[in-house]
Amino acid sequence: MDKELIKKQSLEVIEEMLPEVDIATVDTSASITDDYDVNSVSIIKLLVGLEEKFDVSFEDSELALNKYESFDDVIASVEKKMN
Amino acid sequence: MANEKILEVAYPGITSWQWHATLFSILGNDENARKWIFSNYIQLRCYTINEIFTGDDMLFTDMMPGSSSLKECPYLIFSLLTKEQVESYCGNIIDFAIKTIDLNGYVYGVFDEAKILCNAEVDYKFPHELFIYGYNIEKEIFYVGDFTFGEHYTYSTVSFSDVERGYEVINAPEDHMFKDDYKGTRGLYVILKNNETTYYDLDITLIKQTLREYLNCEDTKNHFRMMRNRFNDTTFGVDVYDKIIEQIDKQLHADEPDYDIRSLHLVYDHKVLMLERIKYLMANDYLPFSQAIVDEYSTVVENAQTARNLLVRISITEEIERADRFAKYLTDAKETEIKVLTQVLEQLEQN
Repeated sequence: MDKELIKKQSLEVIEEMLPEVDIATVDTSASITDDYDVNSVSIIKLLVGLEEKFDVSFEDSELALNKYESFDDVIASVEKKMN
Repeated sequence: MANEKILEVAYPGITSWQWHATLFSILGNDENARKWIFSNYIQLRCYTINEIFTGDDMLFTDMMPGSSSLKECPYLIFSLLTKEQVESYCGNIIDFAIKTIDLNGYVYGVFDEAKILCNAEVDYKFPHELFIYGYNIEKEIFYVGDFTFGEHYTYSTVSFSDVERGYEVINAPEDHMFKDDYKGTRGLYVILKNNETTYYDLDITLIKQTLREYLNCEDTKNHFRMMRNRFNDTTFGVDVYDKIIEQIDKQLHADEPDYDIRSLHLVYDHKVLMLERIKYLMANDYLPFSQAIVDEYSTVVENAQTARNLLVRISITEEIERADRFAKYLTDAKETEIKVLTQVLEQLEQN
């Protein structure tokens, strides 16, 4: 799956799991904690949503909020698992 | 009276229980307060209680000091006021809270948060401590800190009328802040910050003693028998890990699985604070700098965090079959922690 499609579909999951994030205006390079109020619980909801969407699996140690600075980091981790 | 006043708060590094989140919110990163904080919060304890909302058995885990820290911390000035005093002095909770904030006092008490969360009348109560640190007269809101309004500890606002309704309906037996020590009454804490002067130096003697008690699972409450001696059957120190492993296994394999993460979150916060303490002791020459110790203890923090996150994951996906991994994360954390803290204690003894 190409990068653009992974990003598009990841944004759909972000929209579903984090309804307060407006994907039309989201800055995927911004801080997910400071700018989008993602917390230690909501990041896990998002990662579980991405697992289902892309049929990938995150290790238990990858569920930590401090592993991701931005949505770009989250999407990059999906890309890595897809390729 | 100003239209708005918001007292200083800093988002707390430790959020596991409302009393810790409140104390750390008020004290922030104050250097004097850090000396008291790093001298304390070393011992862990747990015991079984009846959960206040469901009545089910619950493993209550906390650091020491626990909720009494709001009364006893040398960098806070604490006053206790009964509901009768509040009403006699100010007529109602709203005026009382505003006047208290005007005098730089934070307000902390048990409110029915079901009345705050739900606009419609509900036939159940959710008594929980609310931390009030500001007000806006024009908007008729208080600024508050609480776990109830989000997935984690958040600063938020609550209307004057919701605070008033939430306060009025709580009776004495439901005021869990008061019921243990002040039977038959209820009320509020007023807390002022008191960190201008150094009242407490970093206490290496206490740190060594409590580290020893933590590693040997000794009863730290014995030191406080002069003030309090109604003790439950309590587990102390690193044995708390085993109790938590047992409890998680029990709660996940119940007919209706329970995903309560509070003990795991407390343990994670304890490790975060311990790592900060180790770095602080090294930075201030109480311990020789050792990257190996920092790195090794960081794996304890990571294992505690991974165990907590795994339970959050299971609460979302209901994959109970993943539960067998908890024991490994927590046992690894326990073994490494014993090794590293034994080294830390030996080095503190030598200095």
